[in-house]
Order: sequence, then C-alpha cells, then structure tokens
Amino acid sequence: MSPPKSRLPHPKRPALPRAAPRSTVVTRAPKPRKRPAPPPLSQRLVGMKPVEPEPLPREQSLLDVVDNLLNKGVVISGDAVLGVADVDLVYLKLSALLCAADKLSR
Amino acid sequence: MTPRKKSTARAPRTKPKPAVQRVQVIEPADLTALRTEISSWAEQGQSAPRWNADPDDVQRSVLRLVLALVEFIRRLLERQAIRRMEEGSLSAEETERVGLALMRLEETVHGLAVRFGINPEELNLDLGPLGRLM
Amino acid sequence: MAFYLYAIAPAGTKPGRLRGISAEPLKALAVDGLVAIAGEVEALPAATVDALQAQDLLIRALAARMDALLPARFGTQERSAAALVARLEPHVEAFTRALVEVQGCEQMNLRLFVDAPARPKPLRRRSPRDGAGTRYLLRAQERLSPSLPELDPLRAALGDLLHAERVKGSNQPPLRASVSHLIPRGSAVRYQALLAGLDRPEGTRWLATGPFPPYAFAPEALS
Repeated sequence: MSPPKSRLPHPKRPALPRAAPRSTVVTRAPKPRKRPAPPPLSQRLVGMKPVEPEPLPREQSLLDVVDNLLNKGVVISGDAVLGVADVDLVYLKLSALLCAADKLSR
Repeated sequence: MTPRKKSTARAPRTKPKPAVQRVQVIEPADLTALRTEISSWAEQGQSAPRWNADPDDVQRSVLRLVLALVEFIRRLLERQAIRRMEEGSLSAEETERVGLALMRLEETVHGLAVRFGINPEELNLDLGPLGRLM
Repeated sequence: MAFYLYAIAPAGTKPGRLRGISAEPLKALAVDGLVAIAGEVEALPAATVDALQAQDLLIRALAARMDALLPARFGTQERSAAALVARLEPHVEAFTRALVEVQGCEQMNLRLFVDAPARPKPLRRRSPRDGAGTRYLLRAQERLSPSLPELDPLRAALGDLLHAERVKGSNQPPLRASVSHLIPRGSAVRYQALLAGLDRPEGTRWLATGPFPPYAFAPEALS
C-alpha cells in the first residue's frame, strides 16, 4: 500500500509532549514491544486460522453509518422548538448554557 | 449468515479437519432490535422535539414542557453526579444526599406526569431498570 | 447560512481539495491550537441516507490523511465561523486529550445480544453501609455505562490491542449493549480473529463490525 502523498508542512500530530519519540515515516509502524514467540505451525493452521472480516450485508453497514453519525449518547441535546398555535417561534438550545459547576472556578 | 470464504492456504489432505469455525451468527430478533435502537437515535437526530402550546389544553401543554425541562436538567445533574462520584470528588455523605435528592426528583416528575395523563414517553423518560411505566 | 462542522484535528491540518457533503469547499478554522474542519453551507443538510453516507466517506477520507481525528456528529453546526469557534474553544483541553487517545487508532463496533432478560446485577458497592441514595446513583451509573463483565474474556484476549472502550446500554432486548473498541489501525482482522476464537457465554451472541474512524471517542462536545 503506497503511503498517502505528503505535503510540506504536513504535521500529523498534535503538538504535545510525548513520552517516546516517534518516527516521521508516513507508514504506520506498530509500537515496538516484546511479542510472545509465535505458536507452533500446527496450532497456527488449526486453531488460529486467519479470519477475513465477513463482507457486511448492506443493511448492517448502513446501521453502523447511522449509529456512528447520529447517536449522540445519553442526554446531550436539550434542543427544542417552542411554538404556539402550531406556529414555531423559538429554538431553545439548552446545551449551550450548561457546563460543570466544579470547573467554573478555573 | 453466509459461510466465510475459505482461506487460500493449501493443507495436505492427511491433516485432520480444522476445528469448527465460530462464525458470527446473530438471530433475526437481534437485527430487529439493532434496527429499532438505531432508528430511535436517527429520529432524535433528525430534528429537535417540538413543543406547541395547545390553546384547548393549555394546562397540559405547559405541564408537559415544564416536566420535560425538569427531566432534562435532572438527567444532566445525575450524569454529573455520577462523574463526580467516579472521580472521587464527592464525599460519601454528599453522594448519599445527591442520590436521594435525584431519586425523589425522578419520582416527583413521574408522579406529576402520570397524574396529569402525560405519557412519560412524551417527556422522553427512561425508567431504566424499572422498565417502562406504560 | 451555517458553518457545518465535520471534525477536529491537530494544528496545521489542511483539508486540501476535499469537499463537504453539500459540495462546499472545506475550511480549517483555528481553535486555540487545534483545527476545526468545517464547511460553509446555504442550508442545513437533511439527514438522508445519502447525506449520512457522504459524511461517512468524507470522514474516512480525512482519517486516511491524518493520524488523529475527532469526527463530529451529523448536523453539528453554528450560524457563523466565530460562533462555531466560540462553541468549541472551552473544550480544547478535552479535545487535545481525545486526539492523543485516538492517534493511530480506529474503532470497532461490537454489539452484544443476550437471550435471557438481564438480571439485576450486584451493585458496585463501596461499603455495606451504602444508603438508598448511593445505591440509586450506582444503579444509574450501571444503566448509563454498563460494566459488562461478560466481555472480560474478550478484553483479556485483546490485551494491548484494546486502547479504550465506550459502552452504550440498550433498552431493546435482545440487544444488551453497543460497545466501541479503540484499536491500532490495521488490526481489525486480528480483532475479528481473537473474537472468533473465544467461547461465548451460553445464550449470548456478539457481532463486531468495522473498522471505522473513532466516532465514539470524540468528546460529547462534538455532538
């Protein structure tokens, strides 16, 4: 897989203090860590067959798109449209007014 | 569910059959439940709920709005209380007091809704482990 | 007129020639050290299947170009660029933490289905003297974010692969919960393999889909 074109300057990370230095190579290298010895060949073929992700039925992938993009979690939106006599008059947006009280003093 | 594609690795015929593959099987009821759950999010995400003062039943309309607002704030308080409890920035005594107050607040809102013939669904109320009232 | 938000990204990110779901050119708004990728639209896009899929494709295209990205939910918009920046600025600290968390990672969605109705779980009691109020909060906590001990074997099997988890309980039996797992990019096949190799508890099923950009790991402020 060819790496995406890089344009200078093209920083890819937030400028934050980091514990370990990172390479600037575009391909995604795994984190260096100790790996256990690979299982013997027989076990690899029998018990640990490489599994390809099943191609998703169209509806399943659509469900994921909707869930990912529309699911706002619990009680986030306090929006409502207020009106009288079937006429919408006011858009109420509660979410903008509230923040955690213990953070106010900062 | 359709069977997985076979791997292209050649295995000698004398080898014993591989262990039964655990295919990801779900029931039709699972998919229905998933669809229902996600479409409820989709409906909420489409547009803000509407509140309209009905001139023929002003009292009920007003109460519905008031209770919905109180319930919204109550849920926010509850989530914040849980967050603080998890963080450890609430003492045991504070946790107990806040929990009792939220519990009583929920009972009050419910009681008022039922008394005035308002379906808790209209307030978007979720009774959690108690299940749905109606 | 509205400014429609697609994602938050690290400083210096440029959307290049990508276009938004209303075919509008994308802009990178500076938000106190981070960047909000947004587009100026005439009208708020309707939440149709096509629009949702278009936004998903755009987010995937953006995610392919950068290590860290926080996707916004569909329909996140403000009247003007200034209003959008003002809305996002108070949350920059949370966004920065989230960007570090999702860096180099993607998301798998795992749904858990259970046949038997959920028995009331033993509460995470802190002390035997917990009063009714405390128990109420503990129940609410479990309802909002179920601990799902039945996933412990999977969590153990995933080991280092599992960077973070988000759980959403469900009221639609047999769906018990929707879980999102944050894994390093490129490990989806390994995730599925580990999942397939585990014994499921009797009467439960699970279904993993993905990988996706890290939607569930974007802070609530992006909803």
